[in-house]
Amino acid sequence: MAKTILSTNKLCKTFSSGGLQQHVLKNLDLEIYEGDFTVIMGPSGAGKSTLLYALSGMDKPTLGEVNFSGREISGLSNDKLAVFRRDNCGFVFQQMYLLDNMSVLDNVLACGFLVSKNRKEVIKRAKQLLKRLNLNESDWGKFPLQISGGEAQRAGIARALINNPKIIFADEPTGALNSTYGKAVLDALSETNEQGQSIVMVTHDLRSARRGNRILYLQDGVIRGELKLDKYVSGDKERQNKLSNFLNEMGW
Amino acid sequence: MKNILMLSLANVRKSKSQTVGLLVFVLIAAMFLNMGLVIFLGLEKFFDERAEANHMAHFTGIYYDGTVGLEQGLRFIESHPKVTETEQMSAVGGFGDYYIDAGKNFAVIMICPYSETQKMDAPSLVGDSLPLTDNAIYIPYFMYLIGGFEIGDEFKLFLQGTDLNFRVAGATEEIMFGAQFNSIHRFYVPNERYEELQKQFPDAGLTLLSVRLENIEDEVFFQADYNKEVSQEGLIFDLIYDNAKVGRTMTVIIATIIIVAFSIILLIVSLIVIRFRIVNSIEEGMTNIGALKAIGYKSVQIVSSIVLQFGLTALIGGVLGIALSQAAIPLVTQLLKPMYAFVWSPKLDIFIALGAVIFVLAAVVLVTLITAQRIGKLHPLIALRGGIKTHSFKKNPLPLEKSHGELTFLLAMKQLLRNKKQAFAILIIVAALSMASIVGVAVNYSMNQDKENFALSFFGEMPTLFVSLKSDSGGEEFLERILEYPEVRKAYGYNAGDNILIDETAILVNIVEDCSLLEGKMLISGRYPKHSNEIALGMSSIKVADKKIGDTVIVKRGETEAEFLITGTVQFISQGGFNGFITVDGMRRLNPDFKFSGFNIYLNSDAPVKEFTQKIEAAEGDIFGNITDIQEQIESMLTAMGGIFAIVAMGIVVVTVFVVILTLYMVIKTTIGRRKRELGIQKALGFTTLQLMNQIALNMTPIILIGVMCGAVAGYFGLNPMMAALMTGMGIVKSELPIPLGQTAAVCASLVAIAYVVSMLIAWRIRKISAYGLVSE
Repeated sequence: MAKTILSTNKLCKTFSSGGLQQHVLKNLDLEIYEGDFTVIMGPSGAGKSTLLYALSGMDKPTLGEVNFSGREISGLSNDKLAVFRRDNCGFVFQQMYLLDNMSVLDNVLACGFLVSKNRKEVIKRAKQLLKRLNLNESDWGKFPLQISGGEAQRAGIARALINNPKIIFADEPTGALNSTYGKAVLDALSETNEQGQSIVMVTHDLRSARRGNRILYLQDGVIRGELKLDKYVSGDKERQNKLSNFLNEMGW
Repeated sequence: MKNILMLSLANVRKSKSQTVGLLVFVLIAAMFLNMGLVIFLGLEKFFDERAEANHMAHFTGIYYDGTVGLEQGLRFIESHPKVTETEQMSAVGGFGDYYIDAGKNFAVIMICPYSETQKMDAPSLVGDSLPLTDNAIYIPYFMYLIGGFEIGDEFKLFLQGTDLNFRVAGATEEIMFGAQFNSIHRFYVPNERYEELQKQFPDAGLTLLSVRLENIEDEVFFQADYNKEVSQEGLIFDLIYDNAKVGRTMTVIIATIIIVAFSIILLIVSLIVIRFRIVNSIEEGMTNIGALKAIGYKSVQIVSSIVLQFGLTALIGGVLGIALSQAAIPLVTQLLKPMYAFVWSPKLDIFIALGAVIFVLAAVVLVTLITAQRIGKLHPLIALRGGIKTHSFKKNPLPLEKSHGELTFLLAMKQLLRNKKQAFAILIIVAALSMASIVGVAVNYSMNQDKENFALSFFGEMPTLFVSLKSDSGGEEFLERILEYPEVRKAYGYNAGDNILIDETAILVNIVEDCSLLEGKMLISGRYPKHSNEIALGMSSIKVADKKIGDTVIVKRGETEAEFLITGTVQFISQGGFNGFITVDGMRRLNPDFKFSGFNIYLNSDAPVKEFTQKIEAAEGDIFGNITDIQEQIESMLTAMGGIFAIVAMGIVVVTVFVVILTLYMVIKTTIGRRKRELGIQKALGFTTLQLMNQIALNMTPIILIGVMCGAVAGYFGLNPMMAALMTGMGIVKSELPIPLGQTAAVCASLVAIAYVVSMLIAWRIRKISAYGLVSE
């Protein structure tokens, strides 16, 4: 039985605007397991990203709890949540969100130096990660706007991994990329997952979802279904069929 | 036009607090500019109008009765073709003292009978007054102001060793006299009391010769002619209207020049901030600009909307600044009033106000136009894509791999190095304001704390006491007796202000027994005269004579003339620099009968001045004309001036701190707005609010630190040239005022600390930027 890394208890998130309330997450009970590549799918407006950011401590739930390794995090102050995120989480965003005024290498190092005082170790690891993610050394000194979207996203993954996070949250990491760049990014995520990295990814892209070993289907703020798969192997037709069937069942 | 106005108002709505900030900048600049100009230009104008209304004399000479000088003077003015009107007035007086708060103040005193028939500069009573009866006296208005006298208060004069007690019945505004720096004061008493005084002081009878000329511009030439033709025997002082005016307005003019200069600095600061704001609003609104261009707006329309936006802000700020300045002017004039000693309530000068607003508006519009020109060069598509960011190949300053240091600090420095233009603009602002503050603090220090050095630098020789005898007989014996007192460190003969002519220019020379005994810092180059054919001259005298050290000049006194060698240049506030030093032997070449009637006495530092004064008054009373505590007199003068400059300095420091805070507010707010995305990302990655606040504050701190240091260096090296330039009209060409290092360091450190704390407080708004807000945008 895999160990639970994240869990929620009656998690609710409501947005208010102009006197109108929108209940996006409704009494959601959920567990995320260590080493899993968890994929959250669902139609647009289902609350996928809201759930991801509530789980990661980026946003606070309206009601309910989020527990990380048994520790309740939803009640923490904003600064404590920031410290929690830096120590435990890595983020990969659809829009990459690299810091435009810093080089690729600096983007990774800035995140690394935030946690570790061992400069040499951080620099070494950053370079290893960038190499592992197939980013040319000649691009490390470039600014994010001087490299391609795929390269920028891989730099984003290197940044997410620099502090050996306990979990990576990825929000539509291939959403802004073409298929070639998208594949490279997904390969990078799969590779890290194979090495034991826990990943929670939100996507509405089937090719991305195939990479997960646990698929959660979110609709109207609740988990409508769950599919467990084996670890990803390229070209596994059966796995692809299972996922297609599951999504058909869910009304995808 | 409607569309342009609509765009402008939309811009204003989008950046309300920034608009208010800019408005405040312009408001402060316009306020100080109007205030400085109204007082600077208005005072002289008012003085002239007031003087003309009071039918002032263009030239006045004060003589002891029965002297050759008086006789010749009367003949001269009666026969001079340019004289249109003359008046003689009798008085009792001479060199004496008036008391304020028990302090003795040396001056030429004229006690006059109150006469309804006085034509020139007739007594003009200020506020409430009582009729002159018994022991009543009307005193000059400035004494009211600095002494806080009221009707019924006791008032004391000291003349020829005798205290004279009066009761204040009112105050008079004077034109030619009655200013602290002129040190010639006229008092009015009842006729009966005047007659008593005539009897009491038979050898203190004075005649005041007043003259009006066809044309006031001729007064300088008239005075030169007068001094050439008329013997100086019996002359206490002669004065032209212009010199009287300078004496009254000098301090106020200097103070207002400082205020105007400061307002220009503030305007430059405003323009820099406006430029910064426009550049940022173009960057922030790049997509909007692209959209506007795409739907058919011309560049000129978009630029016009920005010009209108900042022009309107400047116009409103300017008008409010003028209104505020008009409200503040009465408070400021109240402070300056003891110097010019008039009842003057400056009204709104529509030309100055309009000029100030137009000047500020034109500067703002010009800067806006120049800065907004870049909009014309923007292609709509590039603007729609958010500018030319994709083609930015700036260097990556301080790469983290190679730079050592704390991460927050390194990130702040990276940000700073990537925004060099912004950093430079802030640096200039802070440097200019710091310099103004440091100059203000240094002037205040000199006038209020290091008074002795200030006085020695500008006011000439400062013995402990100055004694003038009733006549010039018995002076040598008097000096011998004085030197025997154990309290006396040094004493020598010193006659101040003898009239001589060089190339028909009137010069007041001080005659000194031995110039090596002088302790003041009057000598600025060369050396003091040692021999009978030598003279040291003030810079104005040397300039007018077109001479230099080593040249010879013909010096005339009465009918006698002699050649003198210029050995040095001197400076001290007197006669606008038309002054100098000459030895006693030198004077005897011009006046063979010359003997000292004045003596400088220096007491040991621990000697009790009051007791010593009383002691020699008792011992030498018969021959005393007067004894003056010079240090007390200078102290009293500097206290009045120092009070004004202390407030001006304090005002500059307060406004500087406020403007630095406002600048930081505007810059940091803009920076946070511009870097919202970046800050959001950093929050998402785990940077705490405090770390980001520190990043912003540290980004500003080095600029502030360098700016303050540049300002301090500029203030350090700029203070004395500025002071000399301001005081040229008074005959000062060199200033060596000290910069109080402790106070300067404290001001600099405070500015940096305040800037850091304020930056942190302004950056506190970062807490509102949520990482989630960023990703959900």
